[in-house]
Amino acid sequence: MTSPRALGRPRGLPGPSGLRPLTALSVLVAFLLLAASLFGQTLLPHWDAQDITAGARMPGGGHLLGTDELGRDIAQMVIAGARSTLTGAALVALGSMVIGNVLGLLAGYLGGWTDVLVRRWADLLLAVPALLVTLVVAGIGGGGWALAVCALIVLTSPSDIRLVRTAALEQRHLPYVEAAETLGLPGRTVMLRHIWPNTLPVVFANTLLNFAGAVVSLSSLSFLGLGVPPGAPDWGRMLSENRNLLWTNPSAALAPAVLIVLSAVVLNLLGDRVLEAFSKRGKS
Amino acid sequence: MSASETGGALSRRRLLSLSAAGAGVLAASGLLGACAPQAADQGDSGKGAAQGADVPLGELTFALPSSISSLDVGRESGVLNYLVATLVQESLLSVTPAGDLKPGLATSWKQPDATTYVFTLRRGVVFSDGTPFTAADVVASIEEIRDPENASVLAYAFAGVKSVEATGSHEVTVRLKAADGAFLWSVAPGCLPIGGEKFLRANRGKIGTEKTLLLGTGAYRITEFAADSHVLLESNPRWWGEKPAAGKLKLSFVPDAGTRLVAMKSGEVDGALALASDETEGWGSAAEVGYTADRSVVSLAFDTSKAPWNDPHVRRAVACAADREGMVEGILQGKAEIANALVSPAMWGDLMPADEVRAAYAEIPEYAFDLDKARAELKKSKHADGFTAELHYPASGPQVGKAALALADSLKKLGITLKVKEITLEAWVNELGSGKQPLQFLWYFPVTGDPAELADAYLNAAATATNIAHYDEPAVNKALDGAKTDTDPASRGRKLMTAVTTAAGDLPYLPLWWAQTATALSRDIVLQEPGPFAFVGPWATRIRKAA
Repeated sequence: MTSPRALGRPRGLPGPSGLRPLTALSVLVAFLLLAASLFGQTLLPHWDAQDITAGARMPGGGHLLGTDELGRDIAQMVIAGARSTLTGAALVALGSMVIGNVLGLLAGYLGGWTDVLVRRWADLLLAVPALLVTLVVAGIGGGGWALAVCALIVLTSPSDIRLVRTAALEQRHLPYVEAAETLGLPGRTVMLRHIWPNTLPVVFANTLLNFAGAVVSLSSLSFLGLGVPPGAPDWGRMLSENRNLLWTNPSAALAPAVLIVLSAVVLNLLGDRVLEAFSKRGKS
Repeated sequence: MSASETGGALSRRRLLSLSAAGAGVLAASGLLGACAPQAADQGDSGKGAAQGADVPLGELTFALPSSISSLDVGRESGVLNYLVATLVQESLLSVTPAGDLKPGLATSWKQPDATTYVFTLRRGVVFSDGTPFTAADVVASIEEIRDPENASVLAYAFAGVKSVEATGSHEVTVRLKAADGAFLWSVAPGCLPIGGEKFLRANRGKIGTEKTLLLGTGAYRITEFAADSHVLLESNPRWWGEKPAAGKLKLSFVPDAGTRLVAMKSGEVDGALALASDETEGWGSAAEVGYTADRSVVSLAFDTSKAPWNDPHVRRAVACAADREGMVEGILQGKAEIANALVSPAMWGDLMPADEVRAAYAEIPEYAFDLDKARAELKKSKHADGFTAELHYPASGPQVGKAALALADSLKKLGITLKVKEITLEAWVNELGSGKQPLQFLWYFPVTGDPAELADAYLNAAATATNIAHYDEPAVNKALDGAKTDTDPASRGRKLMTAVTTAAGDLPYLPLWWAQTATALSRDIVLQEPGPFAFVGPWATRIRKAA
């Protein structure tokens, strides 16, 4: 009898039945976070309803995690807050990936001055502390979520650039690339249709790791008042604004803090898992 | 002194209001009040000195909520430096914790005519370096402040002074350009720190730094100042007053609220000053927390020269939509008083009895939270369909930001979109009075105990630099102008009250609350006579061992 594990799964790729419990749990949490990010504010249109006279209260009375000083429901706010935190982080990861792929491929494939310039640019960006520079940029620009996201995209991109460049360099001298060039295919086609697909596994894994880092970075900026505007639901801002409620309603500060950590851990685990899976595939 | 006399520049008071907000603290509670030390020669009897004064307390450490870059209050680096400076430097007059002016370095004063003040100085007083205190030191201190080259931020307080001269070794005569009913506050703590003549001349521009500390006649002398870290003080053995129980003081700058609490719980500090009222939850197990009205006011300022705020119906609509009771109870946990006028009741001092002040304030039109009434008012306006406005608040005032969000939530129901934005303290300071923002927060911490400080600066049309509402009501202007030169306290008080209550009905400003500030002390010590002016003076001399 053939084992179910041996059926229908490409060699080396993780299948659902092959998920470790921790990975399965991470996938589940990531799915819930994604759902909260996409549908949270739609499903909870009154997340910002205030009851200022009631003020901050402990969990109870219909408020699962209690309320903040404006009487807003903490549980609804953390769900609604997933959007700005996770969407922003996703944009950072994706934006960085796009920049990294374009510049990394060009540097790795074309070499020469292009490679030198791209490498120096990446080195320059890597040499500066990303969060500190983002703080300065956001501070000078008056803060704001969009500005913070843009700054983080630029400052996160060097890791993608170097990763893709290295991967492209590896592929550049393989026989199939030489064969494609011998056939007279234009360089753009060789890069996009032959080299790039082979770099994707590592790019995808790195994007997940960047995603996790961006969750923390964006939350930090919001914590410092340089992210979303006041009143907007956001985990970093909630954590900052509700710090003084630790004695009144601890969950007002702890809930967003736990979610920031949970998101970062889950995304890191998934990134590692993906990288591990594709590494095994490569070896096999 | 009116703001107009300041020549249009930022007034000291305004700067204070700003930095105060910045520090989030000013509230330090009457940071500047001083109880009069008990006299060594004439003047006070000294009977106010507390029991337990003979129990030495050794060294005490207090946490301050932000750092100090200069000890010189004339250099303005926030208001917390007053907490240090008033321990070291004294003024001609002092202020009791309740806000009454008392003899300080002047044991008495007389007013031969409306524009002349003659101060008789205390004899036998010496500076902490042993130099005798004379009239020349007072003249030099005032002249240093008045000298434009010195760019002292206290200059506004002496803008109306025509001349200062030593008319005896221990007598100083001050002549004013015009009668000023509030002048005595200019020679009280907050406006006139007195230093030695030679010291002032020799160290111009360097005083208050780590290398050139303050020199004064006060209860303490500074032994070390590390900007961004701490100030060390020890009692001045040459002080003319009663020896303080605390021989040494360490004032540590601890900006983070959580760190302050941990320091208090661990016994690292003996107290924390100038705590925000919403910070004190959780302090009960570690310290005795006291709350005092700090005379400050948080208010909205409408630019009445610009639409839509030039429409009284719009202002009334906003007033009815502001849930001030909710703000005080929900955001400030009840540690404030709902305000209906710019001037706190604690500011009237000897101009008007407290019950008369309350009675007069009770006559001010009430704008209770009522969204239906707000809608009705808005319908009567030219902006019945609503509009969009912006309201900025300083990052150092989170409670002010929350009040803005609460207001925005209410206004949304009227069709008014209020965009709330958090900006840096510096940006907020720059915006105030710039005319760029027609709707602003006015967060003000008075330096004196005179209601004209606020009323004249913010309600008089002549005070163009500070009247950010551009309010211009002839009856109010007349009352304020009359109060300036009126030297009869009762008559002056009535005029100021007329101005304050009339303006309150017109709503150029929407006062939200009169704030309180918290002081946390270890249960081993007590601060005697807490009051609105408790910290306007040598506050540490009133620290005693708890019974």
